[in-house]
Amino acid sequence: MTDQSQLPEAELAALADGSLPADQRARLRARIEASPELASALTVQERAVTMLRALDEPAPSTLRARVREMTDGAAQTARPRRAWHWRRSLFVPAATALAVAVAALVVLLGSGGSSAPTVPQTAHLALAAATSPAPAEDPAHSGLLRLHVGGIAFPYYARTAGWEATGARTDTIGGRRIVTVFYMEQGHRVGYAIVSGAPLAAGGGKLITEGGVSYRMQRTGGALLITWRQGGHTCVIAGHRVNSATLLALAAAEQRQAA
Amino acid sequence: MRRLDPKSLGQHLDVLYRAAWALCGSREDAEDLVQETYARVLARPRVIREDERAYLMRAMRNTFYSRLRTASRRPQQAATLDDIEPPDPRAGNRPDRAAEFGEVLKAISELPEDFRLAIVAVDVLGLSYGEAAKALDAREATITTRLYRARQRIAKQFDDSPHSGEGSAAQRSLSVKENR
Repeated sequence: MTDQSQLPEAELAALADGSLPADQRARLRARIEASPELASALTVQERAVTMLRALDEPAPSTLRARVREMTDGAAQTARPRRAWHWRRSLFVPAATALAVAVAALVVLLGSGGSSAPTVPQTAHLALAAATSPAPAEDPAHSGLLRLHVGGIAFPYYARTAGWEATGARTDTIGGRRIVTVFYMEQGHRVGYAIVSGAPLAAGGGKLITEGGVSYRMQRTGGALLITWRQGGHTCVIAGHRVNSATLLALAAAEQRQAA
Repeated sequence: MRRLDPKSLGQHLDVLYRAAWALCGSREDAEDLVQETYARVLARPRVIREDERAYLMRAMRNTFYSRLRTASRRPQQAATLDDIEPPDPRAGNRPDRAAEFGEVLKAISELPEDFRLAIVAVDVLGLSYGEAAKALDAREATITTRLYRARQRIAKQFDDSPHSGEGSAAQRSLSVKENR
């Protein structure tokens, strides 16, 4: 009986997945023909390779959409560097026009520049899965949850609007903490994110002013999102299959309550 | 060395998702891990020396460890039913297949860490031994040995009739799919 350690494990693994060089393959095949134990070990390897390489589960469409937005956003912020090189070529007017267009796109997508989170990145988090249970209502402050970022507490919508807090998550992008609380009502779900630190740059979309606060409403990857500033921080509320009036009412609810 | 093109990263999503599932053992955690990996990689321009997929494997492994460290520091709280995302509707159309894939990926996630990383890098992500060795900061010979033993464990786990060689339900149905 051959001890496990005496088996040519690396060669068997490589033979099973077809990566063993031809000269070694022939030599090992000859050894295997003379050894039932090696043949059995190879069969086990081949069975595993067949099973593992047959895995073809695709990523869920929601994840695909979120990743596409991230890669598109990153590609657009990277483009001005290329435009700078083009300026030295003969196509100065075209390159300048392109740089202006790219810069406009960057503003449109709300890039915060450098490593600060962007509005689209914050929206992705607001549409992502919860990673922790929802915070409870703050007994000391009616209408608010016991979770806040930079002094801004998350709203408790259950009593006034029927939206129950169902979960939360905390992420860090570029050293900035982004806390999100998720709410559900009759199968609809929204995420409400507050970004710590200075407000993020935002642009594009439709600007709506209510109660003295400017709310920016945009569509991204099939989701609707509203961005506004509160207490010097950026707040984002986003959801799929939620109409604009409902989302705006949720965004503005806290302001109305504060007033 | 070359600049990493954000646009080309999307093509690795499916394979990265399966790798993340095999690392974490659950679909929900895999989604979070993949999303966080992309967010980290895309947070600033990158210059890479290796293959994009190998680079993503390294980034995902680092993100995975960082999540583990964060989770170990966080007080443990029981999840409620509300925390569970509704299942992907496409998987709902093929519950048998979702279960098979989940079964195999879950088995990988239960392997010892070194074995798990080797099998994820080579058999799930499709990296060469050399790429896997670089991505995992290990020698190529170490990777092949770990891979051999990881495959051995997985094959045995799904082989419920070793003498007949018929394999488990998951294995049989995967074979049927291959023959279609």
